[in-house]
Amino acid sequence: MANDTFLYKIFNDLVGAAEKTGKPVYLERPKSLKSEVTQFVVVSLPAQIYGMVKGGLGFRSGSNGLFSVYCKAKTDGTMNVNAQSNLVQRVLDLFPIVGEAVEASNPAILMQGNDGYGYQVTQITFKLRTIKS
Amino acid sequence: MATVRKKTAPDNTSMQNNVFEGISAVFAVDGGFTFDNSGNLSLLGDNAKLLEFPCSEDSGFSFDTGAPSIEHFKVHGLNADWVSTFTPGDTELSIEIPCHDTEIMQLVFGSQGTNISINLPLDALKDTAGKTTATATGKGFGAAQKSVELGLLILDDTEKRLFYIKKAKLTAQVTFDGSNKPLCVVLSGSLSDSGDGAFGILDIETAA
Repeated sequence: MANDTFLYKIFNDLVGAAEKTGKPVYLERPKSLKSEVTQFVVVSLPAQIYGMVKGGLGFRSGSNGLFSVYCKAKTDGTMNVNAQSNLVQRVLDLFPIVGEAVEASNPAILMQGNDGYGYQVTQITFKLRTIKS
Repeated sequence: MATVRKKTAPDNTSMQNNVFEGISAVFAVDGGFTFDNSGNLSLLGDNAKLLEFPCSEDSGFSFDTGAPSIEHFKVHGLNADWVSTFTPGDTELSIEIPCHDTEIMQLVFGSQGTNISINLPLDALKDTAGKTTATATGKGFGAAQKSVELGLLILDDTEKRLFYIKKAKLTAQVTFDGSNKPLCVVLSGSLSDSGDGAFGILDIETAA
């Protein structure tokens, strides 16, 4: 692995899991793309990562993670519910995720709607716990 | 995981793999489990089957081996205990099942129930145009409380670890108070087998 830091390993686990959907995975919504991507998943860690025991982050830390599922809107700009629900289901089917550095469980769904750039977004938040790798 | 903070004490970070947190599923087995000669836990009886209990998200499951009560015996001139004795605590187990599935009712009430059919007046219901009869059918159960012995298997939320309780004596209670909570079957009781292997937390490995 290119990078041995604990944050990198967390991203590595989550991106590796999200890639099993077969769709492109990014760490942030790309500003521009060379070819059109109709569906993609964004992995992010928007919440605080905190130590669950006394002594800092060295032993089991916890946080919440986020998969954002983007599906291109239909030509009239409304949600492609077929593609959206299929990809969300594929992401949900990944759980529980047990990687080298983290365990991810308890997904919850928020259908956020139009992102203003021609895609509909579903936010999938989940519980994150670090494990020994 | 790389340690963020350097530790001089022996590395304990591998223990973080031994944390049982959250519940993915609770399974019950009528009659509990037994150990075979090689120490393997096995399901009791040939016809035993696992039945999944849905458990309320909030405090739907609790297990406690009990807090011992300590009795201190003192002698004059010594603040430390001369001797101390203890009384073991009460094991407690409680499960809240927010549904009335017939299989669950039959298991926890220890009875097959009675077939019940009630004819309803049509004007008590909606969407009855063109209908001539309305009948409610299902199972009825005696309200007398009885205990059942169950074995329990609890999967943690990563489904990599299993917490088992070999045998617990549980009594069912049906509660419905019209609040946000649906009609619930609440099981409460204690361990009925506290010997070796009464409970444990196991790692799950799957193999092809």
